[in-house]
Parts: sequence; structure tokens; C-alpha cells
Amino acid sequence: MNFATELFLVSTAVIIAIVLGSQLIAGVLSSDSLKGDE
Amino acid sequence: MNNVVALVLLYNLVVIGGIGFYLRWMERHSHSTIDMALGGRSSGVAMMSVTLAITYLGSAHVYGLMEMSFILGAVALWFSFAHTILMCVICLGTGPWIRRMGVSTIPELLGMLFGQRIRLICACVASMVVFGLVTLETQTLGIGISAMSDWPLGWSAVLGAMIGTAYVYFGGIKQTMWVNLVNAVVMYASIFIAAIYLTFALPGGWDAVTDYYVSNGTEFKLSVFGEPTLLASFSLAAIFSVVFSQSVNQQGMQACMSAENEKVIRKSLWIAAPVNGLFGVFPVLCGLAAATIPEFAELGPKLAGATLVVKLLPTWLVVLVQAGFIGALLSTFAMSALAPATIFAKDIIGSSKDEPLTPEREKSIIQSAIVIIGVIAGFMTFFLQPNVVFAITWLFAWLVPFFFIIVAGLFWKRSARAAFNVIMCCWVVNMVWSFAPQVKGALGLGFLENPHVVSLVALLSVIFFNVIAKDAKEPLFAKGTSGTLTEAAS
Repeated sequence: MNFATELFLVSTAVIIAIVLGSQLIAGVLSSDSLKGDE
Repeated sequence: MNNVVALVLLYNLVVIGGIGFYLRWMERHSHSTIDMALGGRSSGVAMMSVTLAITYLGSAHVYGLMEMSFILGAVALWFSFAHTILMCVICLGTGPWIRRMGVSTIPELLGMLFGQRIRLICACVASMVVFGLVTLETQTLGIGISAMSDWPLGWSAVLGAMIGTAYVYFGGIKQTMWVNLVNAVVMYASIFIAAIYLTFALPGGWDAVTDYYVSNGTEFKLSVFGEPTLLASFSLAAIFSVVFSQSVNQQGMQACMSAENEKVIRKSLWIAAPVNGLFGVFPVLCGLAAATIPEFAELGPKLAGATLVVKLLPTWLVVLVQAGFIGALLSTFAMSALAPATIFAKDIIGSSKDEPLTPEREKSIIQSAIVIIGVIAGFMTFFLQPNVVFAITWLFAWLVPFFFIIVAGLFWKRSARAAFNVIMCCWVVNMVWSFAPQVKGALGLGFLENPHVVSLVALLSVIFFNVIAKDAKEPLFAKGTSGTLTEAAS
């Protein structure tokens, strides 16, 4: 695997980790007042 | 005119003109008036997410990342990751909150929270700050066009302002969203093909790039985690300045306000985060590769990466890559021009009238404001080209207190006096930090940039002034949201 592919895959992993982490934090913080009226 | 410039201009003419005239034709056929500011609040996930992602892909991503990676290495990608965190904060926090309030501008929200005086102060300052950003985007458009054509920067900026104005003039946010969607496809296809092409075009391929850094003892430059101290200082600084200053910025929020509902905004994260975050990989690869090849390295960090793209790729691919890059810059220009035009129409003209503006009148005011903003931005940039990074840092810091007072007003307390004091403290500190550098030197805080120190002041002052506030009302999202919202709206 070359360096460019490696950098792309690591970046993808970091971005997925950030998104999943933020979903987790949002889930923990969510309450009736934060959830809204979807 | 060389072929690359001619083809890039032709591409923009066809896409922007085509979509603009299509929307006009639709408007005539349906006998309706285009909602320039919010597109009838009907944006779905695809439009919303791509617009949000591309609005925050500006010159710093395109040319700044090439320069930063040349100097610092792959750790520069944390600038992109900071924007991924920003996408999360917007899609899961500020975006849905603002959509739920049903407002059209950030000053309008501040008015609901803290009254008309705060609304007007913030409208005047925010529209001027965003106008400042428009002039900087004009300059970077000029740099992009000038790099392709060798035309003088001033005239290139004027041309950039003209194309940028056309990007948003005919159909407002709806036109911008459609053009963004087309540009995103072109941009990603081109950088994906270019990255593969570079594997064969680079002397020695990517393995030679790796070998260069390993043999020089700078292997850490190949990792996004770099060295611990570099990682901590660079990534934290990037996250602070990006998240606090942009998470309630009118340009980004306008996309959220145009969404069909809150659910659309939350879902958009799954597209906006990778579309925005992964873009940075290509410029970082170019910067890293350029630093290893003497022919490009001797040009210095600013020009090395951009020159590598032009010299090593075939003309057709250079056209596609440049069209994508210019598209990213134009989308930021378009949303930045639309934002102050919307604030002007709704918060400055609209709020001073007893009756709401008719859709036709509002459209006409927004279109006129967009043209005036484009003309002044082009005219100013023709004569004045300040340092983009310093100017952006200074401008962003003006917006930082809005994030803190909005969060406080929605979830903790609503005190107009506290909000006013927080805003004034932050703006005074921002001015002192920029125009009296001896003060930060005397305090031993010279290492803090404007957004960092203003974030700190905003956090501390919002706690202090709200704790001592005696006139505070209950927050809008405290309990039984609807009752409080109705009261605030009235």
C-alpha cells in the first residue's frame, strides 16, 4: 500500500471516529429540551 | 488567454449560467417569486449537506493546506479535521437549534433571545464582518485565476468577483446549492483521478516521497499525528479558532435555515463531514510531494504545491482540478455575499418596517445588495490586498461571542445586559490584540491568536455576567419549549 492510500485511509478513519464520537456525545447530552420536535 | 483559463471560464459560464436561467424559467412558469435567502425552506439532505460542506471549503483548504503541509507535514490535515468537528457541531447542535427557531438570520435569533438593540448591533457588525470575508474570498479567487492566467491580481480579482456574483444573483441560495452539487462532483472526480495520476507522474512515485522523509529523519511529517507537541499545539489551535468562530456563522447557518426540517440537518452530517474533511487529503499530498522535488521545493511553500499540479498533470486534468478548486472558492464567495445581503434585507430594512417585506421586494433588495457587495468587493480588492490569514483570523474573532451568548440564551439564562457586556468585552479584546500588540506581549500571552483569546474571554465573561445578572429571563429551550418560544417570538 503506498503512502497516499495510507494517508487517505487514516484520514477516513479519523473522520469516522469524529462523527461517531460526536453522535455519541449528542446522544448522551440529548434530553427533551435538546431533541426538538421532528 | 491560455487554454486552461478559457476552459475553466467556459465551464463556469455553462454551469452557473445554465442553472441560473433554468431557475428563472421555472420562476416564470410557476408564477412564483424565488426565495433568495432560504429557497422556500425545502432543501433535502443532498443539497443541504453538499452546500454546508463546500461553503466551508475556501482558500485556506485549497492553497493554505498545500503551504502548511509543505512546512509542517501531514499534521496539517488537522485543519481539515477541525472542520469535520465543525460539521458535527453544526449538524447536531447549532443547525437544528436555529432551524427549530424558524429564524432567517443570526441577528434575528439574537433579537428573539435578547431584544431589538442586540439584534441591530449584531446585524451591523456581522454584516460588515461577513463583507470583510467576501473581500478576502475575492482576493483568493483573484490569486487562483491569476495563477492560471498570469494576469495581474487586481484584474483577476475583479473577474472573480463578477463570476462569484453571478453564482448567486439569479436564484439565491437555491442556485448556489445546485451549482455546488455540480461542482462537488467535478471537484471530487478530478482530485481522485489526479491523486492516482500523480502516482505515475511523480519521479519515483509515492515511494520516493516516503524515502525522502525517512532518509532525512523527518518521517513524522508523513503521519497525521506528527510529533506530540506539534500535534497538540496545531490541532488545538485549529479546532478552537474554527469551531467557536464559525458554528453560528450566517453563511453556514443559512444552509441549515433552508433545510426542510431538523432531521435533514442531522442526517446531512453523514455526507457533509466526509465531503468536507477528505478534501484536504489531496492538497496535503501535493504539498508533501512538492517539498521532496527540488524543481518545486525551490519555489517555496506558497507556490510549490500549486506548481506541481500544473506541471505534472495533463492539461485536461489541470482544467478539471482548477475548475473544482475555483468552484470551491466561488461557493464560499457566493454564500458570503448572500449572508450580508440577507441580513441587510431582513434585519436592517425589514425589521425597521411595520409590515413585512413582500417576497418580490425582498428578492429585489437581496439581488441589489449582492451586486453592490460584488462591485465594492471587486473594487476594493483591485487596490488593496491584505494578508489573508491575518485578516481572516481578525474577522473570525468578531463572531466568537455570538456562539457563547446564543448557547447561554438557549439553555441557561437570557439577559440582554449580560449579552451586551460579553459582546463588548470580546470586541474590545479583539481590537487590543490586533492594534496594541504590546499589551499581549506585556501579559506574556503573545502565543495566543485573536480567536483563542476571544474564546477564552467569551467563556469567562458569559459565566460572570450571567451569574451576576438580575434581569435574566428563562432560557428558550428550558422546559415546555413551545411556550417560551412563543413568548420570545412576540
